[in-house]
Amino acid sequence: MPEYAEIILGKTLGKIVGGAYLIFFLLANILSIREFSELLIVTFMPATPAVVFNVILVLIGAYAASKGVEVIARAAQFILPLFVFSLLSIFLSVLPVVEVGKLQPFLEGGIQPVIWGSVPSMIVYGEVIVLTILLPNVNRQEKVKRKAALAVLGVAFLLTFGMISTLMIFGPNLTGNLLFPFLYLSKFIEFGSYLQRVEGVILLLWMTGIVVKVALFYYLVCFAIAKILGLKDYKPVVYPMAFVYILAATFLFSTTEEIREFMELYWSPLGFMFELGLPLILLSAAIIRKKQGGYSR
Amino acid sequence: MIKKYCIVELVLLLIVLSFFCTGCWNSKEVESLAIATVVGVDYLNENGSDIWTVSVIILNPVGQEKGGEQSSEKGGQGKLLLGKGKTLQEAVVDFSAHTSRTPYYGHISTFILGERVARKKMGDFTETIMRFWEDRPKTIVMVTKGTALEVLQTGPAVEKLFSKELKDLAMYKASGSGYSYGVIFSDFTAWLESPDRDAVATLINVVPPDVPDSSPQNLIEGLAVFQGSKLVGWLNKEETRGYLLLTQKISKGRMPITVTKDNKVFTYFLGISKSKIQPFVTGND
Repeated sequence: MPEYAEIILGKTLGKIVGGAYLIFFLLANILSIREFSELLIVTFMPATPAVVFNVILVLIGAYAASKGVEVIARAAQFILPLFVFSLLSIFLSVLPVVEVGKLQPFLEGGIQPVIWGSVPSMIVYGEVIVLTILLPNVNRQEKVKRKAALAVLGVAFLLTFGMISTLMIFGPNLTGNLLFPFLYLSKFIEFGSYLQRVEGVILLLWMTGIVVKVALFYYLVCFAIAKILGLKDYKPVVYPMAFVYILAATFLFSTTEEIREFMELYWSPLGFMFELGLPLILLSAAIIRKKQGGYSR
Repeated sequence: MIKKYCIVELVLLLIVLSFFCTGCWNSKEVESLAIATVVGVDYLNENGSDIWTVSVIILNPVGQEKGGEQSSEKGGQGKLLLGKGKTLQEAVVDFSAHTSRTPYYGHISTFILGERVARKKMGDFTETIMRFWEDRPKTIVMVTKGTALEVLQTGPAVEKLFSKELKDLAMYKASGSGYSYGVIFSDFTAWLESPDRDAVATLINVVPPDVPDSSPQNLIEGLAVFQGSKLVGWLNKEETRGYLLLTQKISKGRMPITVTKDNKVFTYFLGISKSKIQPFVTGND
């Protein structure tokens, strides 16, 4: 993305756009790290300081990022089947107790609230924008479009199914007030006295998933910094960045409520701007310049 | 250059590993836990000031049983501890000050609420529990017409564990016979928050013994009915059956329905039911 921006918008403007994307990915990663420690503290280990979880996660991310994008991709490849299998097992376990009636009243206020309500979820899917930075590293670029579309569809299916299951068990009022609805759903799974307390499995899965996400965003930020600064290699940036992540993730927000407020008020417009707005502007600029024959590539 | 990186990584790895050597902040040995199994909550307003009482049955440590120490809960394997305070949170902390062990609330099978809590302070109770990280959605919510402490003091009739007896009675026996059914915490809270459905909770009461010269016992029969966040009344055995038929909660046993026809009295056993509500609009409005 920083490279495209420079080609399309010129060196100065391109560097500004590249820098803005860098801050966006940095912030996205800081939020992921903080969410990770927040979940562990709120639900499982309230006596442990947040900084401990932040340090551990950032160092794992730094190590993976220093090994390069292929290592992160292989890790994701290993985790994905376990992740999907476990999520499907949870969906199957709650299936006997779901009540479709809890989804009613359906479209009571028309389609408008549904569209507005779907904006925050779009930000999650919009994170696929990372592919624009990863694209130069892919050896079979012709397959990227199809695979990316499949990945977004897969994520959409799993997230939607997770949310619908939660709604069909707890109803809309309770679900809306839960801090971690899916975790609460996993606490709900009980088969007599022999299968219960499976939330530990969910946590394990979520942790592996977040490690891959943090490592990937970590890599992207370091890669983008190297490009903007004109460095030959991104690796010297990796470990110094760990301090930025640890300090920001620990001190940027003081309470869970602050994070929630930030996510609700500011994260959606920010995500919208970087995941949809700016790429559209870049695309329009590229089309206009191509028509004018403004650049050779 | 590569060698330099390897050394940095090794040092970082050693630093990270040292975290795991110190043990976890939250590590607690099982022997040092006071595992709460049943929690009773009572509320009283005396001379204008609130008094909350939290009564908790914790599992008796295994060692104490053989040592001949009498359990405060008669016939049971639990120990009853109390806490009092001006708020629910203060009462819970007061309870935990009565034991040298660390309270663990992740195994609570039932909350028993006194009538005054249900009538006046349901919001305080549900909010405190929902905010608590060890809460579980399938904990049963029961309301009693007296105080929760009386129910906990009465203890189990058959089982050694009061928590097991309450859970089995509410989830299987009461719903099987149509006397009542086990309302779980997540359903109960969702109903309290719902604008279109009123909440119900399992009703438990201490009743005089059937057999002369024996102790009083707990009976799960009927439901407590809420409107908004306040207890407004009770459903008796017959009304509860009607409620169960309407809400299709009958699938766990045989509900006896006795009818009289042609001067003959006989009983239907209802194993499963399906109901449909059909509204009729009368009048012009």
